[in-house]
This record gives sequence, structure tokens and C-alpha cells, in this order.
Amino acid sequence: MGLLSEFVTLLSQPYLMMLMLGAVVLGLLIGILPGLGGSVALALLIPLTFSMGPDAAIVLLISAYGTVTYGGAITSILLNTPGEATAAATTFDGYPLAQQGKAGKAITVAVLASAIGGIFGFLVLYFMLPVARSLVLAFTYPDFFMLAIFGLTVIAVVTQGNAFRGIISALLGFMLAFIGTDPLMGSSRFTFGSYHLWDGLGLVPVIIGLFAITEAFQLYFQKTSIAGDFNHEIKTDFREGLKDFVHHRWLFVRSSLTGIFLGMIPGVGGAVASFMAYGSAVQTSKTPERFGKGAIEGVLAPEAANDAKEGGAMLPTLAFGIPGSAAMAVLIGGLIMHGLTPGPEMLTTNLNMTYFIIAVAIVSKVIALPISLLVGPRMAVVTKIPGTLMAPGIVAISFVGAYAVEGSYWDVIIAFLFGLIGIFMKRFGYSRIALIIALVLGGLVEASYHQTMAAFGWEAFFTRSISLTLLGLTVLSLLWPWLRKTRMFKRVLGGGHGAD
Amino acid sequence: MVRINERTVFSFLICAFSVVLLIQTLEMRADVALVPRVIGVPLFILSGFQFLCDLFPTVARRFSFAGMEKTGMDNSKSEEEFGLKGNYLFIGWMVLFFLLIYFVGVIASIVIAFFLYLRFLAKQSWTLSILYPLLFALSVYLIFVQGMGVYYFTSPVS
Repeated sequence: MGLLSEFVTLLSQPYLMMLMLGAVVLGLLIGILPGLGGSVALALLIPLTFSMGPDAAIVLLISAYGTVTYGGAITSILLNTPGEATAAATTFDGYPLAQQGKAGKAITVAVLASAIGGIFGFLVLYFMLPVARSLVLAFTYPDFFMLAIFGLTVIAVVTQGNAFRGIISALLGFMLAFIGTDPLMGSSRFTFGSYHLWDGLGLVPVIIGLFAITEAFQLYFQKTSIAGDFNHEIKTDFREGLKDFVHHRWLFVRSSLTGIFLGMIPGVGGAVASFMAYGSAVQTSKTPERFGKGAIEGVLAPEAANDAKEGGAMLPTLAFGIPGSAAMAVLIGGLIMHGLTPGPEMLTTNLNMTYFIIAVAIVSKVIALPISLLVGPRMAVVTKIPGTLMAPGIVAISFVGAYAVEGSYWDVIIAFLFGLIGIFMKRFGYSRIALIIALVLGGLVEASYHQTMAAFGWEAFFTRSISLTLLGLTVLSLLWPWLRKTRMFKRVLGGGHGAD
Repeated sequence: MVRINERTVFSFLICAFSVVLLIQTLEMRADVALVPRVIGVPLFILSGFQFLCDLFPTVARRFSFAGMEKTGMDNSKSEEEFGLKGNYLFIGWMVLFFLLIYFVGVIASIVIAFFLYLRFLAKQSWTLSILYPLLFALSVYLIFVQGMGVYYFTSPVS
């Protein structure tokens, strides 16, 4: 009932629906632009929401974020260029299909799989909320402490780049989170005598710097456009695409479930979900030799998984306040700015807001479907803009956005500094995602540590079953890079003997 | 052999930052400083080790987990193409941009910084170098100042 009433609330407000329409077009455009993914989209859009109410802000952010993947699929199919890593698997069969003159069919299947996969993911999230609610209520301070540490460890270890430097990034993020006022005495800490740092580092300028400015720097070097000559007068073939989609419905369900499950695991992003779904599609196909040459299942599986994972990723974000990805960390920043703190409250006192988020995500997926099919291929023309022309625009939006939030010039300096830090982190294999998530979680970790010590004592970390399980998982994830190597080493040895 | 480059400087700065914060914890109450110390000490050890690996290639070869494998996101190809100068020209332009925001305000800074970027860094035509900044500044003015009622887009010093 709660979800239905939120649907009614949303659909009965023309202002919100118009805003959603604009956000969908914006999300599609950002998705088509190379190098700009969901996290950058959210980072750039958060400043636009500061004069809005929470409802409107959620509509803008969730709708734009949910549509970014559609744009990525379109450029993957037409140009063999994924907007971001999550759409890379779509190029394997999407581009060969386009070369065979079947781009319209491929885009239709990709968009259908994205839209219905996304809706499926959010419906699963809705049905899992009661389970998550009872789970959240079973958690106390030491469990939250361990969960935050576990989530961050997984992110630091499994995210792209070097696991060792991922851990350094996470620790650095924690230290940055301690800047401001200490939770025990309320005195200033690590502020270097500057009153600007009394409230800590602003999440929005840090996010803008780490993600948007860093991407702008990358684009600066892209002197030519990614698009060659391509036919953007593609006609999508809805009937044919729908027929293919229905024909491969079980592959769709399997891929979506893979996406939802992987989405719930912190750090395992859309790229892993889409590649795993693609791999599974190849393995279960009766004709695996068609893959890579234009098999429509090779488009359907990664797109379904990539969008379905959003529902899964939203669960730890909303229920525990533990962001599973960079985009979710940015979303938390946006929600906090509007007075909503992700965590247990989102499943208790703010449950209606959680239903509203799900309703917005589902309705925006439905709206994005025809828009992507009708104008998506035509919008791919924006890829003709060279990166070097996009770079100043992104820097300007970043600075303007950072400044607009509170009118503080200090925020522009923070955005710039973290832009620089992000550039070097990206270049030298440090994890920006681990840093930003640690920055978000630092407060929770410290507060739950002190609350545990005051309420239970240190032994609570080792005697409560939830804490102990999470501690075990944390140790396991820290050892994972070495365990994996050992296992691989054994497999190589085994293979060698076999060959001999 | 010692290798000093941007990578070494970056890992040194992280290590130095952790030292500065750890020193600051000495002035704090023990309970207030506890969690930052618990995090700060491993950060100091790991970043110090990373710094040593970056400084001494022989150490990095021995401990491959902290070595210099190429990351998927590396833009070294771009660096080779445009040189180190290109990196710092763009960073320098960003510094100029945010200084301009301070001295002349947001809207005027967009026009000036964009023009300088397009004409001298990106080597674009005069027409594009004039039209793009004006249109962008107009869009920002309409969205933020007119649409959202932001009143502080003038210079912070004025």
C-alpha cells in the first residue's frame, strides 16, 4: 500500500513529472557522453537540487542516474564506445549487430532489458524491505561498526586498481572524515586553525572534485571526438526487439537476478554484474559460437544485469547507510543535503521516503524507455564533440556547483584540491571510490565505536554473532587478493601437471 | 637507485599528511584521539611502505603488491602525447579559474577563463572562443541566478 500511495503522490504532481522528464533527457545525454557515468552525473546534478525540496531532489537525482545506463548502451552499440565501464560488455555483440545493419533491433533490446531489468530490481528491493527491516533492527552499535569496516574492506580490495593502494585510500578517507568536531567533547580536531573546517569537509565539493574534475582532466587530453562517421538516423524496431526479448525471457530473469545479487555486495559494481551476466549467457547458450559476432543475447544479458543491480545496490545504501559504489556514496551526499540520512531510519520513520525513491525509480524507467528509443540514437551525435571542448564546461559546472551549494568560496577550493588529488589517485592506481566511501562512513565508524565502548565494552565486537561474522568476513576479504593468487597458482600447477 | 617522480611525491604527501595528523593527536584527550590513531598508524605504515616502494624500484620489484602495474584508467598515453606540460597547463588554468571567481565573480570568470582556455589552450577559432563562453555564462546566469535565485555569484571580495 505504501508504494502504491507514493506512485499516486508522484503521478499527481505535474511539476515532479516534468522534472522527471527533464532529468531523464539529461541522464540520457550524460550517459551518451564518453567518460561521464552515473557518479559524475549525480555529482554535477546535486548542486542543482539545493533550492528544491527533498521530493523534487530525489526525482531529479534518481531519474537522471537511472537513465545514464541507457545512453551508455546506445553508444556501445552504435560507436563501439561504452560511456563507462558498465556498458563495455554490450559492445561485444552490440557493435557487430550494428555493423550487420541491426542497430535498431539491438538498441530496442538493450533499452527494453535496461528498463524492465531496472524495474525488476526495484520491485525486488521493495519486497526485500520487510526482511531488511527486521535485519536492521537486529543490528546494534558493534554490528554497525563491523558492517562499515567490512563494506569498506571489500570496496578497497575489489575495486579497480591496486588492492594495497585501495586500503591506503580507504584509511586516508577515514582520516579526512575525522576532520571537524570530535563526537565526544565537541572540540575542533584536525582543523589547522581554520573555522571553515569546523563542520568537516563538505561531501558535495569533495565528490565534485574527485569525480567530475578528475573526468574533466581526462577529457582535456581527448583532442578528437570519439565518433567517426556513423548513421544516427537509426530506426528502432520495437516489434522485432520485443519478440527477441520475450524469446529470451529466462535469460533476462537470470541476468537480472545476477545483477540484483551482485549489486548488494559493496564494491561489486555494474561492470562486474554485466560481464558476469554476459559470461553466463555464453556458457548457457546452445550456440556459444555466435557470441562476439552479433548475438542478441549478448546485448540483453549485460544490460538487464547492469540496470537490475541498482535495486540491489540501493538496499545496503538505504537500510544501513553503507554505499556499495561511488554513485551510491554520491547519492548519500545528496540525500544528506536534503535532511535524509540513509540508515535504519529510512526503514522506520522515513519508510515513506524509501517507497517514494522506489516509485520514482520505477516511473522514470518507464518514461525513459520511449524517450531512449525515439531520441536516443539521434542524441549520439553529441559524441562528435571533442573531449577538449567538454572539459572546461565540466570544470565550470563543478566550480559553480560547489560554490552554489552554500555560497562559500572555501567549497570551490575544496573541489579544486580534491580534483587534483583525484587526478593523481586515478593515475597512480589509488581508489577514489574507497576514499569517498570511507569519508561517508568515518563518522558512523567512530560514533558506533564510542557507543559500543560506552554501552557494551570492547568484548561486544567479539561476542555478538553478527559482529563476529562480519569480522570474519572482513578478515577474509583482506586476505582475498592473496588467497586468489594462491588458488590460481594451484590451478596453474594442476593444469601444468595435466599437460605434462 | 632512487627514483623521484610525481608518483613518489604523491605517496610522500599521503605519508606526510598522516604524520601531521598523528602529531596533532598528541595534543588531544586520549579517548578523542583513539580512533584517529587506530586509523592513522596503519595509514602511516602502509603509505610509508608505498613511498619506499615508489622511491626505490628494487623494493617495488620485491613487493609486487605495492608495485607500479599499469591501472586500467591510466592516462599515460595522453601524457606521452601532450607531455607533462599539458598536465600542468590545465591545472594552471583551473587555478586561474578559481582565482577569477574570487576576484571578479562567477559569471565574469566563466567568460574570461573559457575564452583563455579555448583560444590559447585548445587553439579554437575566435568565433567559438567568444560564442561558447558567452552562451555558457548566459546559461549559468539563467539557471542559477534567475531560476534558482542564487544571489552570491558576484565576487566574494566585492
